[in-house]
Amino acid sequence: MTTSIACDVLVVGGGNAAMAAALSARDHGASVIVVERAPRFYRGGNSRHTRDFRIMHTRTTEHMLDVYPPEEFLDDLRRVAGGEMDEELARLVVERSEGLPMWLSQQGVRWQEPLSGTLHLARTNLFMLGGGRAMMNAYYRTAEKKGIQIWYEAMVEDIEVTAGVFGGAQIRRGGEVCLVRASAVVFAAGGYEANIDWLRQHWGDAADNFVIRGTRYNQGNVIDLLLAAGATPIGHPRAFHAVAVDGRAPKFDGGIVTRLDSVPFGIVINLDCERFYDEGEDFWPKRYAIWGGLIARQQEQVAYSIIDSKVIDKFMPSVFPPMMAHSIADLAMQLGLDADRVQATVDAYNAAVQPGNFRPDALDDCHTVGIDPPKSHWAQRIDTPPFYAYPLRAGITFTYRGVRIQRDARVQLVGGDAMGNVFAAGEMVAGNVLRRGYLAGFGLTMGAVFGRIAGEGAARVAR
Amino acid sequence: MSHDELMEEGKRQMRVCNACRYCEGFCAVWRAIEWRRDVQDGDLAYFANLCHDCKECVFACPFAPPHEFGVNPPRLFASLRQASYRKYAWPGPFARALKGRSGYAWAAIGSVVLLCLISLVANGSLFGVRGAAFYAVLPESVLEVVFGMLAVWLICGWLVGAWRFWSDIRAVNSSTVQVRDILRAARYAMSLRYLGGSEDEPLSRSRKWFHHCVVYGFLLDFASTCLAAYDSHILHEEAPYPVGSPVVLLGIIGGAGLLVGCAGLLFVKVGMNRDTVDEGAYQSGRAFLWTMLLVAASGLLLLLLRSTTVMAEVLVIHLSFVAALFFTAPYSKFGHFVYRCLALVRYAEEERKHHSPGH
Ligand SMILES: Cc1cc2nc3c(=O)[nH]c(=O)nc-3n(C[C@H](O)[C@H](O)[C@H](O)COP(=O)(O)OP(=O)(O)OC[C@H]3O[C@@H](n4cnc5c(N)ncnc54)[C@H](O)[C@@H]3O)c2cc1C
Repeated sequence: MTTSIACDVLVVGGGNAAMAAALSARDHGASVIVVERAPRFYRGGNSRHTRDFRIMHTRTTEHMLDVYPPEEFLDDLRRVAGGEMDEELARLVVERSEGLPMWLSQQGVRWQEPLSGTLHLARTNLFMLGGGRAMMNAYYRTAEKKGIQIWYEAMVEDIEVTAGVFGGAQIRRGGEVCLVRASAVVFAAGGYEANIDWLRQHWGDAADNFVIRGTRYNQGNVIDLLLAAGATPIGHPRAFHAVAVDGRAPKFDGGIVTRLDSVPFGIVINLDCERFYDEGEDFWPKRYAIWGGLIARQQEQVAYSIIDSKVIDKFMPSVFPPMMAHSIADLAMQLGLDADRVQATVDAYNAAVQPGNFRPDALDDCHTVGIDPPKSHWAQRIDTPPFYAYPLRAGITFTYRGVRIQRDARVQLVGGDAMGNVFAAGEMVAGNVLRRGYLAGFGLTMGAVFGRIAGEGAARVAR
Repeated sequence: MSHDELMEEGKRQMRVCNACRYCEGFCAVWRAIEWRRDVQDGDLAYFANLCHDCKECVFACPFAPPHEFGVNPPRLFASLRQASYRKYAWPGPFARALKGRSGYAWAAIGSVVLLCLISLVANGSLFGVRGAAFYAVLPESVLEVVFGMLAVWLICGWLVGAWRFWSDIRAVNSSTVQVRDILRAARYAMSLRYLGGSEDEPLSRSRKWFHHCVVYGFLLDFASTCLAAYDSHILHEEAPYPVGSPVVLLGIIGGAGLLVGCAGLLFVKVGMNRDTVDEGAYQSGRAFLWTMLLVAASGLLLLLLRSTTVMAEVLVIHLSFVAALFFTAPYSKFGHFVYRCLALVRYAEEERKHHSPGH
């Protein structure tokens, strides 16, 4: 027999968007149940791996330098959006971002003053003290204090939607299944990046070689349920954000520590021992965002970053020590590659390097001539042993496929109407603002803004 | 875990931390880690003693156990601190024998026997004349020799330990320490700047205040002892002193501070999440707090009972606890302040260097 429980607002998911929704619904008078698929330690999905929000502000604050006006924020978004951005929703997020620091502080989230590691972003981004898991701990602590019920290891398996109206959700909790009836529901269950089967549908066998940077619990079944209930899809199913990560990273939850930024300081070769893209094209963050996709398109989805001892301390250290050898041939052997071919690629690259003034912090004039692909900046000969290598893989941060929402965070039906009591926020609606491209800190900002809107809306419906 | 394994494990965890750096806003340890790319054994000892065990980091860490990266800095640093007390303490061979609970117990029992013997030899009978002054039980000169030797033992132990530790935590690029570094470190130490606590462990936030009670309580008792020596040798006034005298007043306030502080810290320990502690460090910390608590309690008891017939017994017990505390001091948790203060001095020097313009 299934038990049945009732509440005003049911929140599905346990990350930043979900907790913003839950707290705001509670503050607007609703009784709230949060259903989180993960066990307690892994609560908070990808949000527990994050570090910062992107925040519009027109005054210098204790934790943010200078100003970041709305127009500049929007321009930054347009620049990464590749021509496809929902202007109205983007503007809404930008404008509402200004109020987030205060509201989040009230939920117990603490901020970090600009320090060495965060200084370069301290004008546009606000850093949580201790990062995402510390933030999630604060969210949950406050939620418990305010009487929000939290269910861990509880997964929404099915939903009851009749004529666009939500009635209840079927939830598996441990070995039991129960039915939660609610007057309104907020879905904030993340993307589907951890669902390897789905990825395989769009990427073929390559999917088996991807590293999932975040939680293993974001499998997208809720997106599927909503689409089946008539919601409008949004975002291309093949679209994801991916970065270069250390090839030795765990399959799931390697988080921030597996990303590798050695790429611009040497060359990157694939299994054929060939270079395949301009390693010195651009700075972080653009470089950061494209290399995942580049590697995903290589044979077996692997690549190797090769550098020499001149540059070993020019980038953030990696969680795994690099492979090291006193000759390129030795290094190739350690990587399991053909020594002669790697040597030939390095020689050809070295011969193409032009003299220049190496400056890691600028688009310098160190470049190559006469090879394809070229290396446009930071090109120095790889000639000073010991030589180092890192295996690289594509690490998926999040997916863009989800459901369409309207300004008030209500899910839109295929016909264009909004579902009366169904709201969605976070990664599962990411495609509403940007179809591709990404701006550091925007995921959390968008999640918290729509989470708050959804929670408040859901509480209103429930009353 | 052997010493080498511990060092390897420490370096592995630090590689995760150095690739993440989300904790940099919490405390000095994280900045010290960021200033190094390759971590050496000495660096680990430095981080460990810079850590005040507030535990903010482990509760914020997405890679803490059960994650396969198994990052657990409070436990790691506690194990490393234990290892450093063993490694740097002098004379080394005693370190193994005297660490932990049994060390205190043996030292205390030994002291009781010793003091009884002294009393026997001095008076011809155990504890001499009932109801008389302290020095009728134990001759002042003998006490001075015994405790003078203990003081020399303790100070030498700490000094040698300090010297060894300091030479080990010098990095290749360490510069000379300046007076302002020492002043800054003293400020950090006296205000317990880095002894925070974590909201995820509610009681831990009171540790700072209990610790203040212990330190300042101890210092008041120390002041009281010095004053007593002054009264006795310079002013030639013999103990015991009246309740209203500065010696006794300082002693009472200090003793009360120690009682409250030690009891509080012991209480906080009970509620600690055991996944984040090193069992050896936990036990030796507890043993130290108990010894300190017994010293304070027996001292206050002595004051209360000093004109009764059991004074002699209480006196011997109190002095035995003090002797045990001193004798084990170079190896016990007592010495942690030596290493921690030095780590803070190193940190203040590095902080100045990294914040100065042009760096
Ligand atoms: C390593 C890393 C670093 C990042 N850094 C940043 C950053 O600094 N700033 C930034 O803005 N963004 C960052 N991002 C992106 C950011 O993580 C996301 O944009 C954001 O966390 C999404 O929040 P969310 O609440 O939508 O989803 P999540 O936080 O992923 O939460 C989804 C939740 O839904 C639960 N769930 C899933 N399915 C079900 C189900 N069927 N039933 C019940 N519950 C379910 C999951 O367990 C999870 O708790 C980073 C991502 C990664 C991987």
